[in-house]
Amino acid sequence: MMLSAHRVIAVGICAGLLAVIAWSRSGLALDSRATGEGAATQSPAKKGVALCTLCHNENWRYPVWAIFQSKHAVMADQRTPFADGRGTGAGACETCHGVSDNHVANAVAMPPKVVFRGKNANPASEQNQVCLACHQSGLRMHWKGSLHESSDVGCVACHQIHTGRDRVLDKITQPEVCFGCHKAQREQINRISHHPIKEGKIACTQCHNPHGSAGPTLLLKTTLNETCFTCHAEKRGPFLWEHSPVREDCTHCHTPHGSIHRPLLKARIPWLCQECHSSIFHPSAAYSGNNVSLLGAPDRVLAKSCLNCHSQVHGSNHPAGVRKQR
Amino acid sequence: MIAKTNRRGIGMSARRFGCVAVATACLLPADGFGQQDSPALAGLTPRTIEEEIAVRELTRTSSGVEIGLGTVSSDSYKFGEYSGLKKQGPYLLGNIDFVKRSPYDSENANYWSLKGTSLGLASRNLRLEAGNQGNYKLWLEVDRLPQNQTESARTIFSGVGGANLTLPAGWAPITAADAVNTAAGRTTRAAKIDPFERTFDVGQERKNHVIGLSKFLSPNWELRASFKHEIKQGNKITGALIGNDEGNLRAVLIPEPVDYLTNQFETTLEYSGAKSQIQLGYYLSLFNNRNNSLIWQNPYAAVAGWNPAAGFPAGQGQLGLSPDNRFHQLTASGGVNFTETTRLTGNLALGRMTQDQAFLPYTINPALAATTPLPRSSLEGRIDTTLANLNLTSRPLPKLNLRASYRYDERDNRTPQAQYLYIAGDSQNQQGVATDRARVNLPFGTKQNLLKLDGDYEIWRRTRLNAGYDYDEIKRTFSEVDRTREQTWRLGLRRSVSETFTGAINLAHSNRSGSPYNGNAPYLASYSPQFTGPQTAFGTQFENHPLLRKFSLADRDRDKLRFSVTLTPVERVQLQLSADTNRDNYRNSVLGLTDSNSASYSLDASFTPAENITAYAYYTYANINSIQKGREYGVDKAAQATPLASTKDWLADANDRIDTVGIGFKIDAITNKLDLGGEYLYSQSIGKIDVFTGPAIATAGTPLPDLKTRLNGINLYAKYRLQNHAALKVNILHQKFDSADWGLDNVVPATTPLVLNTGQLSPRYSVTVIGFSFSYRYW
Repeated sequence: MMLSAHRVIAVGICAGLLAVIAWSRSGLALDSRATGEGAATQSPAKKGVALCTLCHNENWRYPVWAIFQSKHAVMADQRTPFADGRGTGAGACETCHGVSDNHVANAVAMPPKVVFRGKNANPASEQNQVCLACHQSGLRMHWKGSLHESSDVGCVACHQIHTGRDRVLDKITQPEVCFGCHKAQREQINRISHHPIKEGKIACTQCHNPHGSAGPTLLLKTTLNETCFTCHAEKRGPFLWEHSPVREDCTHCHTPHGSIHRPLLKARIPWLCQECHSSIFHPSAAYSGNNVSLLGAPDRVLAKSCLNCHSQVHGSNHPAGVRKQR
Repeated sequence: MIAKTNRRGIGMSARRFGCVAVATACLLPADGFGQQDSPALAGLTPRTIEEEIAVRELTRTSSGVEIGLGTVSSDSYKFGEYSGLKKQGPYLLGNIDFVKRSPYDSENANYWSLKGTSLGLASRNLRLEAGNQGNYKLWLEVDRLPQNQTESARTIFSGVGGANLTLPAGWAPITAADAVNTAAGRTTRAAKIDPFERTFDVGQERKNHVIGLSKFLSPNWELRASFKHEIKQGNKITGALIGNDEGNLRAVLIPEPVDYLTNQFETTLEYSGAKSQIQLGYYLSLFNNRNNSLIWQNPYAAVAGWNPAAGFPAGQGQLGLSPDNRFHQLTASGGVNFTETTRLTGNLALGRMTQDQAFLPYTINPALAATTPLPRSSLEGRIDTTLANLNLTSRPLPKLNLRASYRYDERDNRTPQAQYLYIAGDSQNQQGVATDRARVNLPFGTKQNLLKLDGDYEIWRRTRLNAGYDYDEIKRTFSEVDRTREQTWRLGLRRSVSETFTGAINLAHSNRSGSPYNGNAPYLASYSPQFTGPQTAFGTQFENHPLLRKFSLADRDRDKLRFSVTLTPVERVQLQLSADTNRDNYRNSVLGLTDSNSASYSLDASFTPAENITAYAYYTYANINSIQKGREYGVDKAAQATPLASTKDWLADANDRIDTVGIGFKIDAITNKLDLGGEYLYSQSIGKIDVFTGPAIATAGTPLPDLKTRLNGINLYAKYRLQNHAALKVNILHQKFDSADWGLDNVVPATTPLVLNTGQLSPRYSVTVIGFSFSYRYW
């Protein structure tokens, strides 16, 4: 019965998707070119392209042709800087670089109104205002006031615009971009215990939203634990026997980017546990090299240490699991 | 054990996923691709075939494929931890990157892409995306992520991979006489254990399938929906205990089966306007564990304090594994620009976590008497979460930015409480209410109010001074501290975008204090009054020592310093220096964590000696240091409860140091013909723990051996371009890894008298991987 129900759901989802695609192609598309607009080359966007590429061709010091490989240059998408339907105002390159008649008249002496890199670059806040004109919703909604915004990080500090492949949008190359500033994290991912970031299987943006978020430390979800539970849902509970620091914040015990104490622990067990547990007998005992050299009680320090017995540290749902042993 | 319906059939198999992908691809917008050339580019309006090709290559995204063969020199689970390259021998190299997009000035915005990485490995990924830009988008993704943990673990049990572990025929139980910490005891145990040991692989694999759709309902409204189906299978090592008291605990490390299914569905409806933006969303996460419990046969003979039926051969233990659970969340967020310089954003997220899996019995051993039944058949666990967030930013003056934010985060744990007369470690009869076996569950909850105020002012051109203040209040239920308050003051200076110098320095100081620390509050709330009442007479009505302060609740002073500077002394050289330090002092903690410091310093240099050569080098030093204090006590509990200092105090000083060096280069050796590149990585960590003990502690503390890891890795490649956008590439990677871990090294299953461990080794390897590939790129 269960199998059948899920098959029905799976088939339903596929059928729904195909129906939506078919609907999308049935005339409700936003492509204004379907209206049969003629004389396309007369649009302001194409005039702008023709003008700018007179100088900024493939031989120019700063070639810009690769912008035409990108989503930004798709003229049929009415949201883009190069959209044909932008009317008579700024269009094409000037959508982002500003109306730059002075630059056109005197290219050497006068830079464009908005410059994103090099010695004539505008302040990050001015650059970002250009991007925010279109990118202020969704993941960017909380950009204003975010840590990166208030640190004067420009959009182009991470993003490449004049390319068909922005390396910060690629899971494998993205960490290189982030590590340009975040040196401590670059080191941490090489520790013996780490998330598979350097292996290209987890990108920084699978946990963080660098554009700002409602969560702490630019996390994608609204709380740290919710972010962790997206991949570690088995630790979500609620459990009969909760472990209070776990319920509150995974980083009370774990450090996410890398640790020399497996698995991603902030300190070595048993001392990590003893930071909070000091009850009578073995939890309060002093453990040292004696236990390793087998003089003392090696059971409590070697192998998984406290977890040799208290294995359910994230919480237990066993009625006899109050000590996290069940 | 509660068996569940086998769910393998309901997961979206790779084949079914492939069918969906193919079906979708058949419906992709196929018209319009490549039907129009690019006449608008004034600099190179194509007139000849060569010019046309040039325009195409410059303005259209290329596609490519790379295929080849590689070989791994030796087995190593650690080397192939996440890549899947865990076994010696050949493997297939395969990467694809197909993109088909209408020319930028085409009359349509259709596109599709198919990207696959590591297709010959267990860590492969394949993603198909298609759509009409600005109209709709569909994506499908298949991903595999292995985590190979060790190949050297050993077990005596049969049934590895399942949820019922049994001992082999002929097993002689470990007796109380065997379980002594002497050389003779180890010899006796080894004689019993070793003949039945066999190794087993430890690790898991995640199989992810994602399907998503985005559709613009109008130019301003977008609907997005995605569904992620993840299967995680494999095993892990888990501690399993039988016993009920300090003197009769017997444990064994056993393979726990991992067979999880997590389904996540997320949908958002988004409005995007120039003045305001809104996003409404729903998120659902369903977790299912195929195994409710793990049962193992007790390898120990019954000892004093156990019901004899708990020992070998009839005695069993049962662990409760992660229960099924679900999480729903409704979200709403929005932003509005009141003026060009003032913006308000807000979030509201209402969530509910629930868990109601049927309880396991107090014990798996039927011979143990359990006269009082469970108070409930399942938990009906429920936590309601509320997150509200408001953020106001404004630039009242051209040089002045102000920011204010408020955050409310509540986790209202509405799980019902009850008293459970538990049977400890499947080893004794049920005890009465007046014992420490009568416990009430504590549904912890929190409520946070966080206010942040920040401002920055441009004191000189492109130089800004910033200051901020935070007020963070957290209220907790069933906690030692009902309420903590933390205030933070921040000050910083940064200079941005200069030809030769950019830099920033930020300082922060925090002070956390709270309501009185009632160390025994959770104790009194969980244990029965019939048990705790008589304890008062002896001044021992506590579980954790009264002088202990848990670090997450303790009064704390925190200082942070972050510093970074980038210098470009000459045109082709750039230097970066950065520091990130944190210093915590728990000022009123007599016992527990008293100090915790961390620091990371990095020096980076990049060098471009010629147009065709780039090189970089960096060094990072990281240090983590902590000091904690404890007091050893037992039958002298009452006497040790109150003195601020004792001859039974101990101190642990832990110090981790990590040094990392990276060097790399790229050379365009023969223009458009030969690329060379290489990277070298060295990472070494040393973890030191010193323990100092008071004179009344029986055995004086001694330092522990160093925990060590050392990674040396070098990766070299050469790529030779053939004609027609084809290339040959050779890649050589060599890594050598050593580690020393006193918790694993020289520890065999018989080493620990009361824990039959797995005897796994700390990882070390020396592996070389050579890969040859052919790649082709086209437009």
